Amino acid sequence: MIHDASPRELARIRNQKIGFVFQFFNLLPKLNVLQNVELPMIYSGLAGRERRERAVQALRMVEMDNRAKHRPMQLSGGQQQRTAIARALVNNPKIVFADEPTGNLDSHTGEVILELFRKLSQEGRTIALVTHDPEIAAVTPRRIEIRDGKIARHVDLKLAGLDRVNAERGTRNAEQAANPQSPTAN
Amino acid sequence: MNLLNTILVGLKEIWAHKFRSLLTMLGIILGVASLVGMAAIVKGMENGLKETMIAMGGADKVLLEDQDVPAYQEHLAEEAPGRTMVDVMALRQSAPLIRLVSPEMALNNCTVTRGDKMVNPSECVGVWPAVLDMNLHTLQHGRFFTDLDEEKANSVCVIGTGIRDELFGSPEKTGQDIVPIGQQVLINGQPFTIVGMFTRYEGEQERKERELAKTKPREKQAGPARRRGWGRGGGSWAFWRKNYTVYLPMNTMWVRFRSAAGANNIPDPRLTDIDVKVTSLDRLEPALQQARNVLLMTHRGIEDFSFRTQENQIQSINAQIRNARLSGGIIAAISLIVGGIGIMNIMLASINERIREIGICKAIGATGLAIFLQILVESIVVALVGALAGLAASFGLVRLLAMVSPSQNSPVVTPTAMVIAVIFSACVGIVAGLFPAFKAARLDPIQALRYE
Repeated sequence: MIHDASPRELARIRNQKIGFVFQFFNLLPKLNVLQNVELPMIYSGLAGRERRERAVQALRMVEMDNRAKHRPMQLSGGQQQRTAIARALVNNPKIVFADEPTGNLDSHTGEVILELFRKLSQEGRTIALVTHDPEIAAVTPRRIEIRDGKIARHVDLKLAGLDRVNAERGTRNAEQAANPQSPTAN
Repeated sequence: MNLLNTILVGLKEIWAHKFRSLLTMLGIILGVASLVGMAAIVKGMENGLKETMIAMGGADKVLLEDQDVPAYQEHLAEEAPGRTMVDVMALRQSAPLIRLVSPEMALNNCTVTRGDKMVNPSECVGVWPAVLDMNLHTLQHGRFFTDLDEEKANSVCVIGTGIRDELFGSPEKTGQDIVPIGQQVLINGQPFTIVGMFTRYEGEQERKERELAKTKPREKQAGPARRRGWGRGGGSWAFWRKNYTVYLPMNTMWVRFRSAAGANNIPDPRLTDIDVKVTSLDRLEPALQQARNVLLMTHRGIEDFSFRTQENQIQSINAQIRNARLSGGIIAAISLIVGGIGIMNIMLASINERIREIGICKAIGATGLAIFLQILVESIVVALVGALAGLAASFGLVRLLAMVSPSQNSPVVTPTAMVIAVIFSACVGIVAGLFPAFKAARLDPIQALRYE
């Protein structure tokens, strides 16, 4: 279905169903925080007032509402990433893709971002997070390890009570997969 | 994505790269300025030519001129009667398509004097009252000639303001508008009473300059006033000629000057000029044919006359204006197109710089159309801002040209030219933006995001 969608439909899917969070934040430097968050709603054709309200709401969710008028360049990496997360969430997507969201941040800030993702996850949002960092991977409720383009291991903590650990083609053995979420991955 | 937003983003983009935008716009600015300036010059030229045209009697005036008899009538040349009052009477009686006939009998080498002052009028002619309508004269003071003046050959004259200025002093010098009605002057030594004076004829530009000069204090003249040679001190020839007119009644001219002025004191009844006006320009040809028939009758078949219409002149004026407009327009259009190429160039460079930004926009859901419009609007905004700056620049350009060009053809900025220039630059902006916008819209979001 995605394969035979027209570019226009693809744009709509990216706009409505998917939120992206990038390693390098990818905020538009010319726009301020609020405008950056408003951008996806501009493309989905929302009216100005609603756009603003929802953007402020999304910023409040990531605790960035006090920085709404700042440019991305005036923000720290963590603040930029939180803005990017607000932008990803503002259209209420079905799934959020996060590509190394902490890769460009110091570990403390990364922790804050991860905390935010965890909170969102607990609120019932679907988040697909890609990382090279096993520590970060360790905090996720469900994990798919990919090695050389192939799925190496699949760990699902939700089903961990049933101890269903998928280890199909792993050279590396399970590292306490049944461990409950370790709060400090640092 | 709504339009206002797009335009705002476009303006921001211009503001973000001020110097680059200025350079980009320079082509459009110069193009628009030259287009408007060119149109202004042509308009000024047109105004000058039209003013002159009207000063010379308007488009429907036809001159009846003397002409050597054609070859096949060579043996009749001695019999050629020339233009006389008989022709005038006949035309008035028998040529209904001729609305107005104005005979003129000129006094050559005429000198008008009063006290110690003298002037040589541009023309000193005996006329009928029809001349007012013929040469589009306006009487400002006094009266024109009556039938009684004509019949009794009264020694009266009507003068233009130029004659007044020379003999009685101009308003500029004396500080008051002297009306010399009732005063006596000598025309070639014979006393005449001034009964009327025309208004001052001048071009728009001359009038403005004169009014401007009024506000400035005059510098005091050192020593006695002198004649300043024969120059006529600027201004259009046509207006000068009209202002230095002296008119006498036809019969006065005949009795006082011409009845004994021919060779061997034999009276010469020939007129210097017969001007006619046709009822309407649409029927110029039949009217002239009619006049020709009448005149062939009075001239006993001898074709010693011809007609000169102003139509040729109008046509050549129009052709000149059209040519000037076309060549100027083409030059301006070329510079606008060059400006457009500049815009396209800079837009291409700009989207290359912004590939990543475009990728981000696409990743969060911008459609190709949205990107396309964004780039296109930016290009149009650059063109339009350039056009507005160009309009501002054109005023400066026109002022500059006005200083350089002769005063009677001073350029006039026309709104039409401005509208055309703005529309044209908007079109240039659209065309210049199409390709870059298309290119940007087709970018693949994944590759655009990876672009460094």
